This record gives sequence, C-alpha cells and structure tokens, in this order.
Amino acid sequence: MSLSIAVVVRENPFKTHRAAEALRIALGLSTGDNPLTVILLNEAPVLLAEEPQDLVDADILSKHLPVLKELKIPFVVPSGAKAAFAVDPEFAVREASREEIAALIKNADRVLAF
Amino acid sequence: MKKKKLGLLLSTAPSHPNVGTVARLCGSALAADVDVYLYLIDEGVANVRDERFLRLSARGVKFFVCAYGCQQHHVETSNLGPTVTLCGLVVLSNMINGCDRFLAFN
Repeated sequence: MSLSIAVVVRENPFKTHRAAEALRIALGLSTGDNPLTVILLNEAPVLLAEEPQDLVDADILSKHLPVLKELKIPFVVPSGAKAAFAVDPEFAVREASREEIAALIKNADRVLAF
Repeated sequence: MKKKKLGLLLSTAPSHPNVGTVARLCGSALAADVDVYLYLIDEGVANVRDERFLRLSARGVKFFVCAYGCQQHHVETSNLGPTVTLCGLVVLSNMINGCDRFLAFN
C-alpha cells in the first residue's frame, strides 16, 4: 500500500517564501500514488484565500494554486479557519479540530513540516 | 540481508543548525551500513558545495539537489562533481516511497 504523506505548513505566507515552497513541494508529491494531505496552520490558510493577498512569492503561487484546485488536493485547516481567512470554496478544504489534526500528523507515514 | 535505507530532506540555509545535524546523521547512518539518500531543496540547495556533504557523497551517500531550487536561489550548478545529481520532485517522491525511514529537516 502507498505511504501516506502529510505536508504541514506553519510558516506565515505574508513573511516568508517557505509557505509557497511547501505548496509547490506538495503539488509535486501529489503526482505520485501516495495519498497526500496538506495541513495549513497558523496564518497559512490565507494561501487559499478567495481574494488575492499580498503574499511572498505570489507570482509562483499563482501558477500552482489553480492546479491544486483542479486536482482537488485535500487541504485541512483548523476549525473556523475557512471563514477567518475567506478560503476559496473551490479548493477541497475541510476543517478539523486540533485533536484531529494532531492525529492526522501522527498517523501519516511521512510528514514534511514547514 | 537487505540494507536499510534512510531518506533525508534538508531545506534550510547553510547557517542553520539543521545542516550539521543532517551531516552527522548521514555519517552515523553510513557507519551503521545504512544506505543514505540526501535531498537538498529550497534554501538547502546552498549547501550543495558543503565539504561535509561532498565527503559523505564520496563515501556513498546518494546526493540529490533540487534543480528548480538552484535556479530560484541562484546557486551555480556548473562543475558539480559526479556524485551530485540535479533533479526534480519525482526523485523526492521516490525517496519517500523507497526508504525505510524518512526525515525532513525544514
């Protein structure tokens, strides 16, 4: 069975390019057979905001986000984050409690945390 | 007996303490007769000429570097030694799948 992968993004997309880079890596890994989940914590759900934001590496994000949307890559955000960050409903995003997010990370075969 | 495989991802700049940790892990794993696969990505690509990693690759560490990361971070890729492989995320995906243990230092 394919190993499951969790990409966890904790970095602030307003302050560092690393959040955008994490999404690029997640997109690259999503092309394999591995079930992949992207978990966005702290300010990171703003990556999926409906309205354009002044994010670091916004030009790079603008190339990858439509593909992540089209491929329905599963994102998980903390409860309440969809409304708080005005997440675009066309992304495959679900909210989860802190406990569930902790379990997702614990149970993943491979974890890449940024 | 089949050798164990360890995959390591490093995405931090040369100034970060992760670099020394990863170098020591590589060395310890090699000494324990483990196959080691090291992938530099993002700011980690700036470690491509780190003497520790070059020595480790000469001793058998499989040394991969993200080509896109080199381009983004203006890391010169000409004259890299034969033990360094420029590659893309497919290789990282294969590492994740093929290694018994995988650790990411971000």
